[in-house]
Amino acid sequence: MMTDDSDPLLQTLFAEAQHDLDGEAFTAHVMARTRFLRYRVVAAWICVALILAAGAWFLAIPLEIAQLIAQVLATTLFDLSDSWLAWLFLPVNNIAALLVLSVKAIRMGRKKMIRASYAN
Amino acid sequence: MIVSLARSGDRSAFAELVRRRQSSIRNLMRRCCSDTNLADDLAQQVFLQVWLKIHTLKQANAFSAWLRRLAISVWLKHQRKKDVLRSADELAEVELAQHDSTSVGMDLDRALAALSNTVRLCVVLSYEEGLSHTEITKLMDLPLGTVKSHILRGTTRLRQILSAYSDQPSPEKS
Repeated sequence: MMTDDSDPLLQTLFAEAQHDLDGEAFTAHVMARTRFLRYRVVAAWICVALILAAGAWFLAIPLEIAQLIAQVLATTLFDLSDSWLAWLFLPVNNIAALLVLSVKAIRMGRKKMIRASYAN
Repeated sequence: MIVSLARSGDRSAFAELVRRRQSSIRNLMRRCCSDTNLADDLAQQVFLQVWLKIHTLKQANAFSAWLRRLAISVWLKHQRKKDVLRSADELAEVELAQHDSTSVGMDLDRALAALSNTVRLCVVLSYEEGLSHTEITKLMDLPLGTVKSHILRGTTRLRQILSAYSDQPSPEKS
């Protein structure tokens, strides 16, 4: 059903060259490859599952350590029981706040010392 | 019916589909690459793609056009992998190791191998698949003018190479 201008001789030659090919062996080959493809997909899913499981297993230990550190940092410095003071000082009444304040203080002290040395 | 069954994952329906469509796809690939082994391998890749993607086909009656599109994309992908700098003359020497079993097929493949890949594909789609220039334009994502000039150039070149056939009453008498 060629609608555009086409060469009649070439049309005849192409038609002559086209012939029905025996499809049994070809079909069997394709079907065997589809089976193999299915196994490959299953194998790929198994690999992904194994990688995820291994990743979870390897991440479990660092996760536990992180949890422990978080617990330690959240430990209160002074026991203020359940009073309103305890709620007021909650953001600063822990080891984490102490560490942050210490680092800040050290940095400020260092800056002052450097400025003093430049002034001299 | 078969397409719908194959789409739902029926292996025997898919096998029947391959049995019915393999000839046209293999012939198309043979005209494209002039090497029967490579053509059959590429045709197998086409049907593997069909097996993987058939569930995405929305309308069963659009299967033929979809299959042709897949075949062309497999062929173009194969072309991209190959060294694009190889000239048509080199292709003619290298790829004609194996031919079509008929003498016309053999001569036609030899003549097609003398064309550049894009020109050859345009000519094959026009003459082998009977597609219009507009359909080729859509399939190959090329401007209409380019497709027309490729087909004209390819036809002229094929007419030159196969000039012996124009003097004879029947193409079989080569």
